Amino acid sequence: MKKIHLEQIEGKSTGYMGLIALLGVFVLGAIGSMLYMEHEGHWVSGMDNQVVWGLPHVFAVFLIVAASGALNVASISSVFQKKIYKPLAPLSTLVAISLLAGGLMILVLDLGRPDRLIVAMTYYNFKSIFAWNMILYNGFFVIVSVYAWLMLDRTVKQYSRYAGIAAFVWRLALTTGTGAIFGFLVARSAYDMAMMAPMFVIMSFSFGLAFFILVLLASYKGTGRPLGDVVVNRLRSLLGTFVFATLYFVIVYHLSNLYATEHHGYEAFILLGENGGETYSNIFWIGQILLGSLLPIAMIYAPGVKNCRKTLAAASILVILGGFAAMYTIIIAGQAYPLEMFPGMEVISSTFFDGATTQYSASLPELLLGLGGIAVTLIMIALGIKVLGFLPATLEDSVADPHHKAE
Amino acid sequence: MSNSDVNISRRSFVEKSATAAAALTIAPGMFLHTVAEAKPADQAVSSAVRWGMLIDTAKCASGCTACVSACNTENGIASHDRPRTDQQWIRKVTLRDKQTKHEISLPMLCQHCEKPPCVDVCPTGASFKRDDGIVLVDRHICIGCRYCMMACPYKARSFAHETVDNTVDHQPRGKGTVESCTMCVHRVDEGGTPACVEACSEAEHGAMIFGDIKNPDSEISKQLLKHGGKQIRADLGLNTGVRYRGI
Amino acid sequence: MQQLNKRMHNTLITIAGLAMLAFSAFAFAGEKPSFAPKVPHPTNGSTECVQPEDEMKKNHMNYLLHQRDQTMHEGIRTKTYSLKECINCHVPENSEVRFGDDKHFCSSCHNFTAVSIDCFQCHMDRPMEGKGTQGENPHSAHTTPTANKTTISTDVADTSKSVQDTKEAGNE
Ligand code: SF4
Ligand code: SF4
Repeated sequence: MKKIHLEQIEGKSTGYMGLIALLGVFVLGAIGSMLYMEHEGHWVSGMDNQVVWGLPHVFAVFLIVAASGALNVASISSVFQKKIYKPLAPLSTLVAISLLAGGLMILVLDLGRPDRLIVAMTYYNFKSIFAWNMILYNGFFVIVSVYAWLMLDRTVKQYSRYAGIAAFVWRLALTTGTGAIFGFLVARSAYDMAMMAPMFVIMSFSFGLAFFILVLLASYKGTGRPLGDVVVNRLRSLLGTFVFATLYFVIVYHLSNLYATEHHGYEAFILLGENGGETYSNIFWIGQILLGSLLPIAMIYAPGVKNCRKTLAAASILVILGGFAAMYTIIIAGQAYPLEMFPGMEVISSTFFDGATTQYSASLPELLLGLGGIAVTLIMIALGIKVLGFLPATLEDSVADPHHKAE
Repeated sequence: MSNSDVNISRRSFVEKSATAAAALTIAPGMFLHTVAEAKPADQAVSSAVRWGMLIDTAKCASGCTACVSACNTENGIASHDRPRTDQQWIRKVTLRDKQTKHEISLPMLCQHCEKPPCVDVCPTGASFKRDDGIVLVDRHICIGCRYCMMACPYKARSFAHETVDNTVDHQPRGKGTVESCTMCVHRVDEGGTPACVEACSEAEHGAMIFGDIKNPDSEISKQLLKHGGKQIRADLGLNTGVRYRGI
Repeated sequence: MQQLNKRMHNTLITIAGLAMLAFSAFAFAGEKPSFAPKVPHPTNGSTECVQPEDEMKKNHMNYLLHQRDQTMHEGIRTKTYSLKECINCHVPENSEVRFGDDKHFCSSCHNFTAVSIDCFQCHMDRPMEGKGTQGENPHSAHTTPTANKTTISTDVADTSKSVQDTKEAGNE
């Protein structure tokens, strides 16, 4: 086995500069949206007193969940000692940190009082899972950065395995915590489930990996470095497994909801589109299930596309879109469905939309804010691979997998 | 009122001991009228008291919104004609029993839960419960994350979606933070009654009673003892301070 | 936990306060420089604030913060250090001057020192109708003269103690 050689990219081409500039525009768009929403107040967004968390939160939670998942590759290499993933581990830490930063940026910029970030960091209510999450997020940055450093610095390399294990445990806690944000909302039919946390963990695996695959394919193509099929196909089948597992969890989640009578209303809403839930139901079936799960599974396992990068890239994009649909269903549809306050009664009139389904439609500033978060993620990755050697100079089959030759 | 030092301190002594006695109920009935008297301004609220409300849906007139207007005036809440984002601390809801078709009308407001989910989830501790059971938002440290709104089972909270330019000095409110019924804490601390309760009785409906549910001699406790008072979504076990009759 | 939070916060406030102190020491050192702002005094003839002027200049934020937490969380509604009473006394009722104008009592200094505050994003920057105490003795307006004496003096003792605490917390 040849020695794996990590090397910075040059990052001087027009393509690279253009990419950074384009992403910069998106970041400016997000900042502009934030200033606009702060100045006018949140009424200019699609969010209101019924749907209090909107599209920005869909983006943010997706990115945070994916962050943990992107660390998978590193975890598999260091915790489970799989050699083939080793050269990719540093890149995986970079993608993870960048995703988390992008997600948190959105969350912070959407606050009603982003100017009080200092308050959020000095006043803690330790009963709040949200406060714990802030600790988990900050810890994630620290632990994963240390992990990356241990891997990149030859003199301390032998310790990287321990950091890898710590990061692995930490990221599981992080995703569990993110899921628990919703799981703890006892009064809402959509979230009243202990399954929320594990479902988020499994979702993180597939969203994070899909994002990682895209970054990998794009950066090797962009730099013209060799990338062998062995690595790519490994990732492909891993992605297939994760998408399957996620789909399985989603099915179990809805089935077990169907067992509980009090959740029938919500299930009819999301599965059948009853009670004003058509849009949400469509997003669930078409977005999350069809485009986000079944189609990618077909594209990954279909015979004849085994070495086709384009199919894999398309499948990854679909998994990500499906991830957004999943977050949309959980976050938006979960709030749009009216709170059940008076069982056995129907609401005749209310000035505050009691008993009524909210039809949420996102506004442009919210979308720009969300896209800005993704742009921040991508900029961090692009700059990261330029400044430090996160990217192996070559991942030819002969380098990536010593057994390959024997085949 | 006398101006001499002696009398002042005597007065506050009597006041303090009256509150204490009422709380401990050493002499039931004897101090009944003093309970409503203000606690001294420099005294912290105590857990010997728990403020609550009892709302009788049979007396609540459908179509009457006296409580809502009183709340808006008292707290300087104005509509921007954008119902989806306007703030509401109290609202009127009309309900019909699916089986019997019986209709009732009631005001919904923050239920001042004993175990408030909004407080549990708030990352900064801005949502908090005072010792006397009133649940408030400390808008000085609220970051506007809206997690409490996600957690409240009663849709009791509103987010200030736009600039508030009609604040009153006893109820500072501002854009970007979350707010909800304060049980007119500024009045209660001075021995008063919430504006909605006052308006309801002025409108001669008398559907709302306010008082200390820990004091067995208070009007509200007597009524609760006699007629009971249900919690909305009692299944959640939040032990709400606002109770209803006829739901 | 609440305590811990307050600690951290107080520490921050103290640091901010010290920074401001350092600045004002510089700005107001020696003879009064001509560019120092003129703080408008109440027009009701009262010559004394609730604390000596120097103390108020340095520490008003600590008094206010302390009072804020007490009122908010414990329902303590003494008036001596309440922001509302500062405004009632220092800003004329029906004043056209709003926070942000150099003539506003708070802005006159805060604009000059460029210390931004967000109090008036929620609080009223002028007295509510009928509440202003300009033109009458402010302290008698709150309470009876004798009660005034007692409450204020205990108040002062309490608060200065806690201001002390704040400082200690800052030094830790
Ligand atoms: S009703 Fe809602 S806002 Fe009020 S205390 Fe209960 S959970 Fe909190
Ligand atoms: S919006 Fe304010 S009060 Fe509500 S949870 Fe967030 S910080 Fe707490």
